[in-house]
Amino acid sequence: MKTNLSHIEATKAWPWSARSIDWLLAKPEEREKSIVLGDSAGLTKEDIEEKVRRVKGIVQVGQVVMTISSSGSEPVDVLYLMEENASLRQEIEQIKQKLSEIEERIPEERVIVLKEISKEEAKKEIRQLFSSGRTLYYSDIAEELRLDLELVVDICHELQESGELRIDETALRA
Amino acid sequence: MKLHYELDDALKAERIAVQARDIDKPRYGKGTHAHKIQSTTLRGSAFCVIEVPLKAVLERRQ
Repeated sequence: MKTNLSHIEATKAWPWSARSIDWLLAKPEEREKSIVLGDSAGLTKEDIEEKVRRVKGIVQVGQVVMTISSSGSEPVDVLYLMEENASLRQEIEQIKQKLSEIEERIPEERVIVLKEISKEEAKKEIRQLFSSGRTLYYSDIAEELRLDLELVVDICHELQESGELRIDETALRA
Repeated sequence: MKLHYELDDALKAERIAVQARDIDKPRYGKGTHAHKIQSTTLRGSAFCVIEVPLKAVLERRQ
């Protein structure tokens, strides 16, 4: 059986031969066998392919290391870059935090389309809203029921006069 | 409720609800002491009211 090893050409750039790497990667018993029987003795196609994959991985790592060293970067530079990276990340986090604080201060813009309903219907809705027992301001009512503020104030006065609503003194003191 | 239509009439309270056709972007500044102050202008059919907290009067069953 002939094995196609044409894709090992990448190892040409590497100072070690594929053979010597192969030998280093082999298990001790396999090494002994290869010494006694020669390199290809007893190896299946799958064994060879697996070894080729492992060698290619080592060659790639080696090439990366060679690129870094040839471009003039030293291990010290890498450490410096890591520190710089960490400090930049920290700065980004601080900026994000400040931005969210500023965003919180910006008043929220919301479009509320006012309902066009009769005064009696509006009164019913306001009564229903107060039935939950909540304390509400005019603006809360106008916003929740999407009603005109002036209409809300007018209805609330009527409800106060009829004794259905009262001013919440505890909320006034708070 | 007293309605003030006259020019130069003013409202002063802790909480005022406002409504208008157009409201300017808030302007930020320093008030007295360390208080920050914001101001704006309402334009077109402006309505302002001093707010009061309201609560339903519960009916007592005997």
